[in-house]
Amino acid sequence: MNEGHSVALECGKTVDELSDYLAAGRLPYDPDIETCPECLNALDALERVGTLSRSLLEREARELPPPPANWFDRIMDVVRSEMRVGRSLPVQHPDPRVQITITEGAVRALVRSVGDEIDGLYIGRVDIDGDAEVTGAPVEVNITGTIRWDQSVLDATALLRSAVYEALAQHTDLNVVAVNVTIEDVHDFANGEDES
Amino acid sequence: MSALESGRFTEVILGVDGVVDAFPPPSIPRLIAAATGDVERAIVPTNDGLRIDARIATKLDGRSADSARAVADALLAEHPAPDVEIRIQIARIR
Repeated sequence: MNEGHSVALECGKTVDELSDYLAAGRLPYDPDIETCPECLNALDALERVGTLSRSLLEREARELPPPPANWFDRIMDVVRSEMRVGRSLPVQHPDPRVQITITEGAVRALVRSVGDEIDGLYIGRVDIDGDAEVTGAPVEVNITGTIRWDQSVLDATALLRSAVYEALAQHTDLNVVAVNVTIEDVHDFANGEDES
Repeated sequence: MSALESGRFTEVILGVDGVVDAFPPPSIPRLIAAATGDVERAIVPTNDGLRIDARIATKLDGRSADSARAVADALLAEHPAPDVEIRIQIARIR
């Protein structure tokens, strides 16, 4: 763990605290964490990294090439940077007494969960670029990721773009005009806990 | 005290299709909210009337925006006063 893990969420909890809590099997039950959506989203992200770690270790044990030395640091940088709640993105309602928003953090987590469902893809950073706090303003979703060496980049990114468009239309009122995907690296491990 | 304030707040929110959880607003000590098992303190009087703050989690296989709109409609139905202000935040989709 590097010192950056002590970065605090907006609720005050740190990544260190959440990592320790997760490592302890989420026991004893911490109501501060378990009733906080930011903490719960962060725990999901940390669990996802943990799953990948186990997969990597299993592969490494079978003498496949290990990941780059800074791979986990890069992943943790993404986790830390995306744990913030972010902007409040509007959801329309006809009654002026009502104000509905969805947090940028929830939308980023949604995109990651959709992407991770695609075989061979691991989603890194998710950015929502544009004036997303203004109803109807055009926004672009920029996603980085890595792909397993035996997967087609074109097929996987096409699937990802389609799934992200669909998920954002299903859950938000965002006017998504583009979903841009950048594959930054090729990896040699499975999305799941065990591919055997 | 309205019906909402006397205990139906969480029930109304969780009764909406696609909503899986309701969280206390950040301003409320979560230990207290968790201990009491409700988010009643999300209803606060303001100079202009009453403000209701709801933070919700929605289903991944649902339609979050529609669920949030339905939560607003349900809260308005429970509390139709013209001076009520309802703020809903979708904080988690799972």
